[in-house]
Amino acid sequence: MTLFFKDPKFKPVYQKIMDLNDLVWEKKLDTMIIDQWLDNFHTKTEQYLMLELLSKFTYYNENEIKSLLVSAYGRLKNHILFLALKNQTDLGDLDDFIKNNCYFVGTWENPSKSGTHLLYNFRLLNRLPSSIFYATVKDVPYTAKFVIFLDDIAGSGRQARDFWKDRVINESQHLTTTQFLYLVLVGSTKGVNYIEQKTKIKVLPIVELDERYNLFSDSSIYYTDNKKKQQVKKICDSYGKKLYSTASLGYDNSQLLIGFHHNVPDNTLPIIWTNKNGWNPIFQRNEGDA
Amino acid sequence: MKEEMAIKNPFEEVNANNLDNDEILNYWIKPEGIFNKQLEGIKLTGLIPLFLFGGRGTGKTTVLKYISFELQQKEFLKTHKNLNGFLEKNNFLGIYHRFDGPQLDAFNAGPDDRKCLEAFRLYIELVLSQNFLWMVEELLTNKAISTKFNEHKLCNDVCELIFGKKIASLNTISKIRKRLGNIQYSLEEARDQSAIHGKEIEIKNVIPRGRLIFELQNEFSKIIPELKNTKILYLFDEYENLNLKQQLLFNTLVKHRKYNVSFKIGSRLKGVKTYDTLTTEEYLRESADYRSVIFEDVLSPSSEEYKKILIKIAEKRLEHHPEFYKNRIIDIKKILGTSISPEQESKLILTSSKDKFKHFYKTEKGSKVAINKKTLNMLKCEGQPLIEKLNMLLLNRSYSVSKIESMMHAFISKNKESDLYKQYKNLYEKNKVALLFQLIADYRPRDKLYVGFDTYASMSSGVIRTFLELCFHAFHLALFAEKENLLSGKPISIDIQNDAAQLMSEKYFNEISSIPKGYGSVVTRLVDNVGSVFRGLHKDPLLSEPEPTYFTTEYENLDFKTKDVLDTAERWSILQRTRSMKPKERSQAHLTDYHLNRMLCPKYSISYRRRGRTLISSSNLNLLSFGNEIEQKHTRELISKEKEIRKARKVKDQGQPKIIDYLD
Amino acid sequence: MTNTQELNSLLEIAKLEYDYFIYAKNPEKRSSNALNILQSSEVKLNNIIELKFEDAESSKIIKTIDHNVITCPYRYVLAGTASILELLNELQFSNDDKICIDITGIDAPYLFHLLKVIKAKKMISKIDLIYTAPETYKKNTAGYVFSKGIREVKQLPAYTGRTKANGMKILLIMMGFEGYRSNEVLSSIDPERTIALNGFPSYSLEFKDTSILENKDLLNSPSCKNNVSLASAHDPFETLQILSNLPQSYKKHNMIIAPIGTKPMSLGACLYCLNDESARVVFPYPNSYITKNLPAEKIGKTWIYQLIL
Repeated sequence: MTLFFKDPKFKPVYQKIMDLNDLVWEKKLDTMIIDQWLDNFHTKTEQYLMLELLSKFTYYNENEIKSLLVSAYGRLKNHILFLALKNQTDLGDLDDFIKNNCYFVGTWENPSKSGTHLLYNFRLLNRLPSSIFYATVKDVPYTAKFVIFLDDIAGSGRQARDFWKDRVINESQHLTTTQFLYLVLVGSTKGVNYIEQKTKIKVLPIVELDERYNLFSDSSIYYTDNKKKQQVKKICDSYGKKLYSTASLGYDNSQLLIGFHHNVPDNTLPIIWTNKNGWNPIFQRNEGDA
Repeated sequence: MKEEMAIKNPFEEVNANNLDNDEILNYWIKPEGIFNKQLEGIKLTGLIPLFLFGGRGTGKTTVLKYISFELQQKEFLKTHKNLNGFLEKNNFLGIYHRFDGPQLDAFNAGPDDRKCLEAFRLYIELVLSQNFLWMVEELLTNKAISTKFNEHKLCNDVCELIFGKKIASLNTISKIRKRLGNIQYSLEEARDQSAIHGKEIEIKNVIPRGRLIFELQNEFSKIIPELKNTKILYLFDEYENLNLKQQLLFNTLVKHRKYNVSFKIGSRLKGVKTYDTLTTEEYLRESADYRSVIFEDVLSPSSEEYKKILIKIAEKRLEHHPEFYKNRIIDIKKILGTSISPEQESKLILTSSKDKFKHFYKTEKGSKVAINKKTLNMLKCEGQPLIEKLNMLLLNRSYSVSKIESMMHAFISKNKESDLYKQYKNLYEKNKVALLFQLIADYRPRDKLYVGFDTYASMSSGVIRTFLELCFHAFHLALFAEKENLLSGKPISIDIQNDAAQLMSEKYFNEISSIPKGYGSVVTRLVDNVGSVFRGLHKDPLLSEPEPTYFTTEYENLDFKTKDVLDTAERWSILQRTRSMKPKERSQAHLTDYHLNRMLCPKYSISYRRRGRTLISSSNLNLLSFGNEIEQKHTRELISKEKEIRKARKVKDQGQPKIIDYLD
Repeated sequence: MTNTQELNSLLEIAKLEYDYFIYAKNPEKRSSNALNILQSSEVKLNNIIELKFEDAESSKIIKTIDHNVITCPYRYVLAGTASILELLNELQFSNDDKICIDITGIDAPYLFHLLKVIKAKKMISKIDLIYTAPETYKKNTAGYVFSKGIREVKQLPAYTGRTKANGMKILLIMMGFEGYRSNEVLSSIDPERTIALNGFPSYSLEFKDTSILENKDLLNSPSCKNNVSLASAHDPFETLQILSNLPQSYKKHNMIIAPIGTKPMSLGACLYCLNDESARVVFPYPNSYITKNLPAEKIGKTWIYQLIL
């Protein structure tokens, strides 16, 4: 029988984890996985604090990802409608307008990455024709009013900025009147601002994360007790450094605690997802998406 | 998702309303105690109306649904190609209907009560008659009725009956059913319109009372031979949801039932608000107009029949799950194991504690006083903490140390001839469970363990659903934490079973607040106070009343408000009334005993056995229900102290004090 | 055409003007936030009607210099709505008038009934509704407490539904933070099947799983078995879409809707029921609503929904 079951101090926390595991986390965990993860940490205090941290994890299951993709389409429609209102233009049927004037492009380098997979689901769920989905910007017709990118997370925004700089600018020479939009399921405010400053892309996040969602920020919603927050930060940092010396608290020091059904972003604490150096992860990341 | 993780919990569906028909049939165990009551003149499928009383989860709905046409049809079709011969085998057809509180209430709001009641009456009759017609269509389609008959003539007769004239376009049973459906829709629309425009509900199609539920059926039995002797049974569930007027209406139908039509009515205890009818001088009389069955009386938690039913039900469920079936893990008694004995539990308590002498103390003026080392050594009994605890009790009762020691040695050495042995044995057997509770209190934060099949059966208080829910929680935790052990046939561990019991107890308590119409908070308050009193009394060092687990009161002397609260608690099975005790003196009021639902015992860490009784006067019950915080606290203390007073005046009867003295 | 916009953004590009602005003021500041925004943006509001919800037995109309107040008894929806209509009549309401209703503080039963009456009486076809979400919620020892106890689960007037005599009961319950209310609805209706609708995405990430955890008993119940549908907490049209897209097989049975989730979700359900009269609507009326130490804190985004009834 596992440690945390026997100890009454752990009970409320493991009950919450059990409930989340059953109802939201798609039963991804079991006691063995949790035990092995906790074994990474040396003291009982550390284990308790890490178990508590785990209970605060945000996991988007398959159903929720689908829902976000539907909401993303709704967001897109509302944005286009807003622009039409602003310009006092009559678009007619909005769905028809989108099918005739909007083009969706896979993000980043490799079509096998999560962005492309999401795009496929986005198309199916929102019943859009495949003819308006392209692999590269250069193939988009010059009449396009909108080119839309889609991805699961915008953490730092650097990936989008690099993509814009290295690919889109060159490939979009013919798109003189086109507006570029980026639908992102989860976007940090910092990342969204960065992208909009460095590119011509308008970002439309479905879930927006401000500083409150950085684990150890001053306004963190995860820890209101500063002493405890520093204690947990120290643990995460010290173990994180052994795994990723330059990103001990997540890529670009994002300090996120988020995972998706299809993968865990590297903006999340590495102690959650890495299996480097014999580390036992709790939600393993598929490094193909690194 | 981890595929191998996804093993279904065999106890997932516990509510009969949520079981589909196949599941009810798959899990059906015939409660012989309910079905075999012919000697008492009770026939579940007979023509005499029957009230089935029982708390939530006792099985009323399962029984009613089982005898409904849908299920009987399904069961018949398991062994037959069609329904040919169905009516010969089953000479009854059950039409199940559950009274939904909010829906009933919708016909309750309006300026004119009479019109609302009339709209309600018509609505229900329309729904029931449609179900009857649908059933006849099924019988025809599936060849239960093979004799040719003149459908046109039948429909003409029916139209004359219902609408007062022949209607040529309604020339099939199906068309008549759809017409009745349309009338029902227009009634519902009228209901909506009356709410929108603030006017009375307009009833356009008036069909006289009873026409659709007695006369209609009779028309069919006149023309279709197979239906001639077939009983039509209306199976009404949750009768308690009807308001007084609505029950008057139905009672009238029951009283004046006609032809081969009858009623089987499921209700909570005290759910029937009246036995009167719409006719002032008439009322329903038991034996003459109806019979009744109380499920709790038939399914007593300690009865062997009840336990057998639980084992069979659990077995059926486990058999339907391949992971358990293939390894023959289908005996719930083995999976839960035997209940842990007080001796075993007491040893576990000491094993898990560093200090093994916490229970060695005397009590003087309410405080713990350490005993000297010499006395300790004399009264110690290695590996037998309950014997040690009994020794402390006897010390508190002013027995000399040497006498206690002698008695103990006689008992340990099993010197059966000795009077000391007999005396000690008697005290030990009578008090060991109570002593265990005291031991638990000494070794806080240790809690009483509620584990084992017998314990689970007892805690379920005769409510099958509660037992199944306990199993659900135990399996749920076990599948998470010790899946391999479970699937290899090992019993579920004590810790997991206890966790499940505690979880269930807390959940049960929290649900009390959801009792509607404002009763939730009052019943919660009363139960919490009573539970706290019992918990305190369990720790009484003098054990003046070992295991006080129920209270008694003069019900007739209660004020109306308090009576109402007790009745509500009983209706919702939070309190369970047990047989009243006859008063000793003529001038004394009847005493009524109430037991807390045993599912609450883990919450208060009290015994679930029916042992010690506590008197709570009517005024004290009122304060425990309606008093402010200070009054409640004071009353709780008073009740505990009263036991002390009685102890001083008690008449010893084999070590058990009698309550009667207090009433002198 | 359905439209959800942030009010502040819309005000930047469109000129709004209303003949009637109806809102319900309560101890939460966000209940009057929309009014403040509209007034500070100099939006013309010809008649302001304030609804004051109370645990009273009757409804009253109180006219002041700058606006009108109607006391609305929680439990007597018909009386309260009748007063609203009476006042509109007195103010000479006409079919061409523009109405805006801030639903932030309006009790769900009132919202349902008011829109039903407006539609049934063909009072207007276009209407703007506004909702201000809280920025966050705070939990006390008893959880997220918005109300005390349950008086009873009642059907909403004018939402009787159309019962199919031989149909199953399918309960569609919008989950809020008070799990005991869903449990009470569940035990009162005892449906054969339950679909739980979760407000997702939630107003803010920290509450993503709150409704799930607070309603775990409902989700684990046999009729539900964690059958969860998702619709945005702030966009009623997603709820409307979910309900409209339910499988046809469900429509053969008896749908019962319990709007105890967010107000926009309740609005979405209401829009569905206005078009599909076969659905019944039930609501667990509490004994009382909390007026102090409310869980909803600070002011989040304000949304405007432009509808055609």
